[in-house]
Amino acid sequence: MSPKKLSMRTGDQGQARSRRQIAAKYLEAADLIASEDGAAINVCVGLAVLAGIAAGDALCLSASGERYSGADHAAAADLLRRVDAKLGAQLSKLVALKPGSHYGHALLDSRDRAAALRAARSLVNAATTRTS
Amino acid sequence: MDLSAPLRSIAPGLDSAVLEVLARTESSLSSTQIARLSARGTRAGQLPVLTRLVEHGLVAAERSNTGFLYRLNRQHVLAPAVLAVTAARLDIVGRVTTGIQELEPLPVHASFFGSFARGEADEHSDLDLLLVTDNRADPHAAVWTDGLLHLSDQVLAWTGNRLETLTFTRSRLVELVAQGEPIVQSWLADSVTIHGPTVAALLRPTRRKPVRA
Repeated sequence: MSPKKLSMRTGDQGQARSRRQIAAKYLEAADLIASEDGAAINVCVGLAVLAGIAAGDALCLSASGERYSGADHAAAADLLRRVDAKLGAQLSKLVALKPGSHYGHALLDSRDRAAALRAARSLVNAATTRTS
Repeated sequence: MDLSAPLRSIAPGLDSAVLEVLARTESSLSSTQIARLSARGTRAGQLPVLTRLVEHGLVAAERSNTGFLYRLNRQHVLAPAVLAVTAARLDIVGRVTTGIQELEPLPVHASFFGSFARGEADEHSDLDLLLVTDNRADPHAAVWTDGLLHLSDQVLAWTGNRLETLTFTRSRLVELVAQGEPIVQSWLADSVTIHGPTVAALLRPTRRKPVRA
């Protein structure tokens, strides 16, 4: 867990729902290119990470009325782990796929994409359940 | 923490810049040499710092024909602390190496790459770690990802910096080389291997024993 100070933003249930809707849209976009190979794998994993982050925001807002507001995705996962250890760990593992898309063109393969989509879907589903 | 200059994390001023230089040698250096070897500050800025450190006894000053020569007073009660902090990088590498032994399955290779490997990392840098597993391992299996998450948490607690990992099976690594992935060159050029054979050795074709008729 992060020993660093996390920058936070407060929000209500309406904002939690809004972040959940954004998460669902990111996931929808990721699903649209999930059957394409090559550079699309990087894009798909990137969108899955964004879906997971937005779902995590929704879960945090719903549970504690605040969410992470900085640029460090791993810190957003740290915050979710405080709210829900299992889902937070899932988001941490999803975010851990991100370096693969930064460091090369084809470092990520179809198994990475499948794992990213699985984790993102699980987080979006949890956010949907808790913010409906 | 500043991964290249750990003393700066606890003494952000020029004291750490001066002490980092003096901790690297047992010989005496002139203020001009210290300024040239240090990462921060000028001779004019460092002179009052040297004078202060001499007053505290942590730095010894010896008169020479051309002025004063300075050295770290290694008998000083604080000297071991200074030397320990400047050697923190070795401690980090040692702790991560130990952490890797706890991963399941044990990888066949682990190396640092990127800014930490090149000695250029600071407090904003991540520690980039390449892990290569046996072909039978599943890099998405919970036992592996849970282990990595635990190691990442530990690195964050030890340093304040994040651990970022890339995991490939051995055959996937060979594929990446065949695809001409640019990062492979970085792994070959400046990665610091902390477990198993080097990346170059991993990629060397294994020689088969000739079959006798």
